[in-house]
Amino acid sequence: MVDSIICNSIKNLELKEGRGTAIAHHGEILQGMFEDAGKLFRGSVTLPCHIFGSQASFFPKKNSSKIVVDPEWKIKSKKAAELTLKSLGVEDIGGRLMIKSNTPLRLGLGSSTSDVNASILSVANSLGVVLSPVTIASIAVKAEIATDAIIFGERAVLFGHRDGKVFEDLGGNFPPMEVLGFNSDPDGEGVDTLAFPPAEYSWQEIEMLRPLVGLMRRAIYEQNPKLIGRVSIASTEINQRFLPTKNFDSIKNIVRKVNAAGLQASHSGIVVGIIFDSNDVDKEQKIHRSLSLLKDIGYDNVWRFRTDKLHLEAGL
Amino acid sequence: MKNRLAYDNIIDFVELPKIIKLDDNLYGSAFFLMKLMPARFILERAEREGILKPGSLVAETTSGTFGLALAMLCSLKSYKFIMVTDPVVDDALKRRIEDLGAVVEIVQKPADIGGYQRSRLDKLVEILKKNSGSFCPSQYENTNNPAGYSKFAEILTESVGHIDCLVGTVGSGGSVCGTSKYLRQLFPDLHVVGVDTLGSVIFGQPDQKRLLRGLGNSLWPDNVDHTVFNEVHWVSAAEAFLATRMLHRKHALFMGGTSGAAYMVAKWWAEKNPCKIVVCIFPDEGYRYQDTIYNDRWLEENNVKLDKLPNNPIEVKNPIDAKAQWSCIGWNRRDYENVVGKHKGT
Ligand SMILES: Cc1ncc(COP(=O)(O)O)c(C=O)c1O
Repeated sequence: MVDSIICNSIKNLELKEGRGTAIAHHGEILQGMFEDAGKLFRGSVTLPCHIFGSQASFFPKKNSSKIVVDPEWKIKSKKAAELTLKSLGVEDIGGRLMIKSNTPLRLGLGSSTSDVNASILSVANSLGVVLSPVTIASIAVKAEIATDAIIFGERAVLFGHRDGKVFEDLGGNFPPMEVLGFNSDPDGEGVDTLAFPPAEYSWQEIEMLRPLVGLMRRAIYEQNPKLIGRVSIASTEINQRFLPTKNFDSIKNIVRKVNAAGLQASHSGIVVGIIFDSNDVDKEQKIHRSLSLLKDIGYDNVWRFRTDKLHLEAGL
Repeated sequence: MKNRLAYDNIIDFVELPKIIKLDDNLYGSAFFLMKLMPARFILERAEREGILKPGSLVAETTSGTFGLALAMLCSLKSYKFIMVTDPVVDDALKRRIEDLGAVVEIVQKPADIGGYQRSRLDKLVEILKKNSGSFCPSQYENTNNPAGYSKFAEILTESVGHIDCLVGTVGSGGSVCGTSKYLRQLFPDLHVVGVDTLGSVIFGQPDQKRLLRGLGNSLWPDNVDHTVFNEVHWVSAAEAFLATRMLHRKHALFMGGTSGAAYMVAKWWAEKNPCKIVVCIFPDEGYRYQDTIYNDRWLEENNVKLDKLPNNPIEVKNPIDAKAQWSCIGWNRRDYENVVGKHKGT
């Protein structure tokens, strides 16, 4: 809860139009059930992706408590706006929330999390308040039950997506990587990420996940995309029982053939990424070859992004 | 930065090994007492599954470090513990285990068939029958022994990063087989080198009296999955003892005899493969061996004092050809029958 000094200053403030932008992510590098001080939690490390994202504008109205959202179906964003106002102790402000997003739905790109984060930022901005990432994440998880760590940008964190908090800061930013992303099941109907039931990990799987976290820490320390690739492949393997990745073996084959750093796949969606080390001198050649091999197995709608320059450049 | 909080108990502090860089491409993982890791995992799984209830009796046949690990854990967790062993148990270890509140039951006579190993098992069965609700960890068969090494695999990946080769001694098979399976999720091409001693049946040698203890076996434990191993080495007691002393002299690492055996093989492998990252397992500390391995007179009296290690192992095609000195075989992840040409025990 924000203290009374901020609340008083909000009351005296001239309300203005607020804006917020948030990036999407490209699915998980690592996801599972982990242990923290003897307690288990559901956690994930998501790959930030700046070519997709959301922009929210909030037009506040005094003496109202009603929020109207456009498009109307984005009710999680509406809820996020309401929760933001509530957490700031504001009661007599409503308004109109407009959201623009270029994130494709049902792929596991965190489109809803991106909307929700942008919405929270826009409401705070309209009240002249700057919220910390920790507070934003805690509001977001209340709005959408499961939320991802996109507010932490290029910082690698093991995030409790159902607790809305960072369980472990992995000690640095993601290394410079380039990713070729695509929908692994373009003819399918996608996955409703939030309706997707949480994976029931066996105790064996919980044990199997431990060395993956160890290597994740090491990958950040070494700034080594190849190690990240090892973690994401192993995590995706464990996840196959809950959500098989279409053409998983063929895509793994491409990764091996071109000697890419690895592959990553959404653990509750269908988006897949082939990861390259930005500093690899043969990167362009490898990317070129991958594009052609992906085309051979039917993937010709492929996008490309970097993980170290996260300004929102999406064509919003 | 991690906060350095007080430990809840000694196990939390000593369970994980220290990972130490021994050379550009060689890392040692030095345990205080490796067996704490599977022992704790086995007990805690049994607690969770309701097989082990508060205050119950734990009973196991062992003459070594697994008994010490169980005694420490049972003392902290308030279980009764009976360790069944034979007259070879060393007296200092016996007193230490008894001081932890355990009962050490020494069988006096070997069975006519199966020797002490058999009479110990018979005694164990008798104890388990007499005490309803008692629990036997069964390190040789219990799959929670290998499964207990996930935290070891975690500290290895965190401290070392990419790993090409794991070298460790094989007794129950739990440590090497368990750790390899966890690591191969991330490094599917991991090269696994098992180190056994001459006269141990695990990898197809004829059974013989062995001076080097802790590794090797006179039976085939279920927890040895032969298809894990790319390469198998047999070392003599004298070679392992000298290597143990060299590990101490060169790196100030005061470890037990199986650590020396693993070190000798790992050092050789790392020198032969300078571009590969090698990790080697050191299962216990040297204190138990001060009067033996670390005592030149004892080494001389037992005719196991060497001045120099061989430069290379002798490569054999069949396990029975390994004789008297350090030997190796390309096991190539085959099963026992495929390499040895007959079933276990025939
Ligand atoms: C000192 C020592 N080293 C090595 C081992 C072999 O380990 P494992 O039983 O996991 O194969 C043992 C097993 O008892 C041991 O006590």
